[in-house]
Amino acid sequence: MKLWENFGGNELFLLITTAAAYFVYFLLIRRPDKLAKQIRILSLLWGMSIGILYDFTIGGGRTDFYKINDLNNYEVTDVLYYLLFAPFGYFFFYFYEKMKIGKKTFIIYVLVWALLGVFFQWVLTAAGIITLQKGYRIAHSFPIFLLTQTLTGVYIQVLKSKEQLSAAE
Amino acid sequence: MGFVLIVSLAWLVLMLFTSMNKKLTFIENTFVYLVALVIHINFTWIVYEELNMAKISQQILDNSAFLIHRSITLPLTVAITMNLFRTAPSFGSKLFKTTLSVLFLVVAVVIALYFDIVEYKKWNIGYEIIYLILLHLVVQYLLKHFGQLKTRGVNEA
Repeated sequence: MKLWENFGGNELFLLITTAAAYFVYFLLIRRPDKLAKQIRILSLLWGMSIGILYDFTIGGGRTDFYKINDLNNYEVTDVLYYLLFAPFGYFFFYFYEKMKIGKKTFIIYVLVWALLGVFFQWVLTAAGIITLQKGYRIAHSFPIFLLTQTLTGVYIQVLKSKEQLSAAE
Repeated sequence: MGFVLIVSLAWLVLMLFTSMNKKLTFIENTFVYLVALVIHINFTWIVYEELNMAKISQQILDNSAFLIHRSITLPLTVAITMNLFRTAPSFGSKLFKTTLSVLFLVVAVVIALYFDIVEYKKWNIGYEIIYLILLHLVVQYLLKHFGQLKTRGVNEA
């Protein structure tokens, strides 16, 4: 495990993007309509877990469809990349509640997030943080995002039937 | 055959989790599953791929069996154990339930070793048992703090 191969543009871009995402996250959790503490922690963990699950399943191991940062190995800067997923988990949960997503808006919400995911992956690829390999293309990520966001939406629906998402303050 | 046995174990754990009388809330169960998943994925990657202490089969079915055990069987077994902890009246009872959980996961590892799904180089069952016990402790500790977040929120309100 290395700190990084060489600290270059991709590491700097990753640092700035992660800092920006957490800045927006901290702004959102200062709002009165923020999510309850347990939901907040869960949404962060949810975002990070999905990033880790995909990267260590199709991004590494036998398939090894893409590498993160400069090496196929685990670098400390890769942790930054996984931490970047966490606030997006919160954003997905927060806007789902804030925009009162229901049966009629579910498909659009999931589709927009899936497209956003593909766009964001394109940005990360252009910045040299993700390098696609072994015939894997960005378009292949679309069904993965679609499935992930749909499952997340379905999960939130079930969660809403059991818990209050917004903080009672 | 290894693939068949590992998938059967995953199915069994999934059925047990679905049908059991859960003592944790829905959100706590998700928390436990995700925490165990994140720790175990990172642990297996570091031990197997980075430190080369063990090797995963590159044969497609065996590799899939490894992924199924890593992503379904292990985190769900930990989740079942955490649910059983809630009804444990004493420390001894918790210790017994942890032992059973670790034993079950060790059986899965022995199956994986026997059918060459994984191959140990500088790793052994003893290390695996220590890791599994520590994993249960860490998840239990984190769950305790996660549960307190809700209690604190109610008190503040």
